[in-house]
Amino acid sequence: MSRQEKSDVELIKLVLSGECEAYSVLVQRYEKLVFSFLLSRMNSIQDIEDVVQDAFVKAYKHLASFDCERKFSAWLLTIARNIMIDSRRKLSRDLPSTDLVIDILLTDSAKEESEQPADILIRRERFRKILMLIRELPEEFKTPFLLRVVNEMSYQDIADSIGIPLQTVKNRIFKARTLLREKREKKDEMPN
Amino acid sequence: MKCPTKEKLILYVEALISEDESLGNEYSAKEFENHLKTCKTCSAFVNSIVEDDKILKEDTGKLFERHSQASAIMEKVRGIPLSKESHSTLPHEFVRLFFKWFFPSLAIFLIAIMSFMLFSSKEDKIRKTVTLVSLRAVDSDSYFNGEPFQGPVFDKVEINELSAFGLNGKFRMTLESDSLSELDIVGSMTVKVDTNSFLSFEGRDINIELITGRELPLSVNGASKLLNKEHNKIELNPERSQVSADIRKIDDISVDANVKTSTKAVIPTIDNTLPEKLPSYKNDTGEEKEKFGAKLKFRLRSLPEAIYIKPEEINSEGVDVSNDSSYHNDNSALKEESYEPFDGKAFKYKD
Repeated sequence: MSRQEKSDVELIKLVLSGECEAYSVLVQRYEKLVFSFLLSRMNSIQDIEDVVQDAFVKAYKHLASFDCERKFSAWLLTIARNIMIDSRRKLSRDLPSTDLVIDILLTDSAKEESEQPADILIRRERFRKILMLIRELPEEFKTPFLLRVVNEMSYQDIADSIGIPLQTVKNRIFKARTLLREKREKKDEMPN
Repeated sequence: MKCPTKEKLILYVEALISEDESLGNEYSAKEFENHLKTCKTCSAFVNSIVEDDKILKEDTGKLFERHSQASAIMEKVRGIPLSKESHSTLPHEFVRLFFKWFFPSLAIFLIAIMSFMLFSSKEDKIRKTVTLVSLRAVDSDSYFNGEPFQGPVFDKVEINELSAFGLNGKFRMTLESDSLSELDIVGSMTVKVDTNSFLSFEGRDINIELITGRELPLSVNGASKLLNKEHNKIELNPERSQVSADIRKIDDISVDANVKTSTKAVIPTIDNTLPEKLPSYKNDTGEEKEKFGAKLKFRLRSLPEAIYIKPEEINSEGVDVSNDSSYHNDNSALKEESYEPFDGKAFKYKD
């Protein structure tokens, strides 16, 4: 069985037994999860990168204390959330007050766009709007929604990853979608 | 198919249709698909969600690829010595289960012990202390099981031998055993002894005051109460009412009170010997007429559910009590000598 096919617990045991490289599979498996979790919560892409790094490093350092009955993803997200909160506190950055991350993301994404300039602009604008609307969602709705859409996770996997009941995941995603539509309709109605 | 609501369309996008019972009964997924083929509004709504999801997923994915920290993370962790903590599942599991179950179990155990001590002590106390019950009617207007009493009603009866009884008036109850408790009871109620040997009072007009004794648990209308020096009164007064009616002219009228419960309204007998002259009035033809009448005034110990007035003989002019209750305005009803019930609350209360 290759490393890729191993379960999280098996990989953790390998790492703890000295196979450090087994940890790269866990990073590969969950980095996007952590990234999308932070995307709607932080203001700077640099901060997001830092928190992603710190979360994986901290998890690695404390791997021996990981409770194998828990989901590694849930544990990792908890670590990431705590680091994010600490980092916000240190930097005194208020989450929804700036559009910084959006601007960086848009500038950044423009580098590799190969579409027509008009299409690029329309799409960027739409992406920006979607991200801004997601940022306005209540905290508890953001993660299930992003994991569902960005990471294409099943409801059950989301429930396991963030440690909430399956029905709650469904309800939160439904509510997130409903709120997003409402907010979008409201903004569309507003004059520029 | 009518256009589904936006909520239903969102559920459709989330492929939850089959899991939503209300939706499942109404539309099938196939019906949705057919509808979307023909309805521009609904298909635009669904497409907009699908398109947003796609943009969000793809653009975030692109960003992620450009900002992946995988190599940086691995570089960092390679230089980090792992903690020497043993990753043995067994002791860790043991510790986890210990903390998960030990403290909650301990807390439940302690609560159970404390509850047992608390409740058993109260019940034991009442069982031991309240053994003999005496009852005395304080005034002549007091009724025990509907019968007027004054003075002792019963004396030193074993509490568990008491059967339910009705009280209406003012009573003093004495409970004797290791200690003595005295209660003043005013109002109209049924008194029982429940399975825990607590006295149980039921009724709408209950006023109980602990005169002597340290504490006394009892039950009032199904709720447990504890009388003690700080909280020595229970007062469940309904609106104590005084009902009066001005009747212009009466040949003979008798007033009775009829209540469905054991509560009995106490109304003095009215006779027609005291007609009094009331301000004159003009009849239909404008002719000045004298008014005679009697003021009916009866005090109710408790608010009855209905009161019936029975006029036994009516003079030719009938009875006019229009000042008080429309029920009594109905001459035809009175002439038929029927009982006209009226709701005490609809009646005009006067001080």
